[in-house]
Amino acid sequence: MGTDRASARAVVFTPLDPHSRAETVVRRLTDAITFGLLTDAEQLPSEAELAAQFGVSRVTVREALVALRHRDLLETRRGRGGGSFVRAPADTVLLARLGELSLPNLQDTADHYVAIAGAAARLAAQRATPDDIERVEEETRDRGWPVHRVERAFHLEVAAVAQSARLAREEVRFATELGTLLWSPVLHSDDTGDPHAEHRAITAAIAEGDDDLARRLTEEHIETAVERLINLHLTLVEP
Amino acid sequence: MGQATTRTAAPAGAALAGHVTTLAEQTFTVADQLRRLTEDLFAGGVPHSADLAVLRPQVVAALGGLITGAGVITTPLADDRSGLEWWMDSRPEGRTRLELDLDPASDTFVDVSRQAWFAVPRTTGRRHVTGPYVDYVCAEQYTLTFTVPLTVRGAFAGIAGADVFVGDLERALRPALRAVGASVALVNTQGRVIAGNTAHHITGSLVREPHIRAALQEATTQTLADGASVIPCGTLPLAVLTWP
Repeated sequence: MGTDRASARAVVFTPLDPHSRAETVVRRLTDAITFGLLTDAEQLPSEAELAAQFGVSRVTVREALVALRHRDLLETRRGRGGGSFVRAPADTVLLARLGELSLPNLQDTADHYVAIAGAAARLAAQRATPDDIERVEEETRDRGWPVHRVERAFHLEVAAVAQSARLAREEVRFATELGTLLWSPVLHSDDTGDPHAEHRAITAAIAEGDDDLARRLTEEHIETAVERLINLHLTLVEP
Repeated sequence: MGQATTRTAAPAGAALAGHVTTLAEQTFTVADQLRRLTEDLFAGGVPHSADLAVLRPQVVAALGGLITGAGVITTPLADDRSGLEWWMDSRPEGRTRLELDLDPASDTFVDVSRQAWFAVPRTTGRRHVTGPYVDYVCAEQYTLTFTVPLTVRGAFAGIAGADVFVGDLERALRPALRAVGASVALVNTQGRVIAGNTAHHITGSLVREPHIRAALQEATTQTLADGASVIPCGTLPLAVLTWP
């Protein structure tokens, strides 16, 4: 017991690697550019603003911007009206980015996300008031949003109804880290079905107070999306 | 059964209800001061959104103690933009100004009109306690938000308010919770537990008891069939439940 606790504590206090922060910034911006959230020729905020928004130092931001320039995803113009501008890649770059992903890492991230979203749905079913259910139902209305935005809004509201600030924070984190990939338009065509239909089924289970069903439906909803992503990944890495 | 009965002695939990009322009224006083300062800004005509920056010293001064967020959010002003002067963090070194994404096309768009802390004072014209709720718009914490409507020439012009983290409030109430000497829970109108002294009624859980709403509407203490008491906290949408 004592040693378990000691080793667990040692992990907690492992120093944060400053390079991994720059890599995180690179990954987020790469995803945002390759998945079209940042559009061609769009100007990025200043280094200082990016540093404040990501909660990292300006040095880290600068390191990340250099890496993005090397990958031809950014262009830097000097002088008046200068700054960092997005260079949107062709579809092939997007698919290449997906092909580069490590499958075990992707699976691990997805497993973690399923655990978070499933637990949130279970607690929401136990703790929702009629007002809460109305709020979740509102997120299942079709507002013409892109899939990743629909998914973010729905699962965040469920985590809020679960009365868990931690689960809500994790939802926000996953929406940024995994959401743009998992719910990319590349993976969603007419035959993948209406995301609102699955959301409505989860909402009904929450309204019924059926916590096991709410969790299972949420897990299946995300696992199906992960499967699509992995299948596309495997197609891409085949010679 | 389930009817209100008159009690001669103050029920267990009355002191806790009084303590909660005092803390909540103090928080509303802070919100009300910000409301008055903001309404004064409208005296010479509708201001521009940037004009709200003059409120900054008073907004920042409102932070501290239990208050971890405070400020004003208006309907669109002379420049067609909503005024937003809201600051967070009770520690001086942690102060940050709230930035809301008000672009409807954005993934992280915040529709202020959908938030209860804005919508309820707009609809009712009265003050409101929102929560406990997961505030993913501001501090990403489990929060109570106390808001009052801004009224300019008879029309709703926005809200002034203050945030209290549920965790901080629970800590402040702990001695009073212990002193009750029976099972007790502080709940909102829906029966959502803000703080309690048993594992059964833990923060965030729900007491499904329809009499809570009735007791709060009448603002009188009620004794329920199972011997539980519902003690309203003044005229606030909060009540103390005690079980024998």
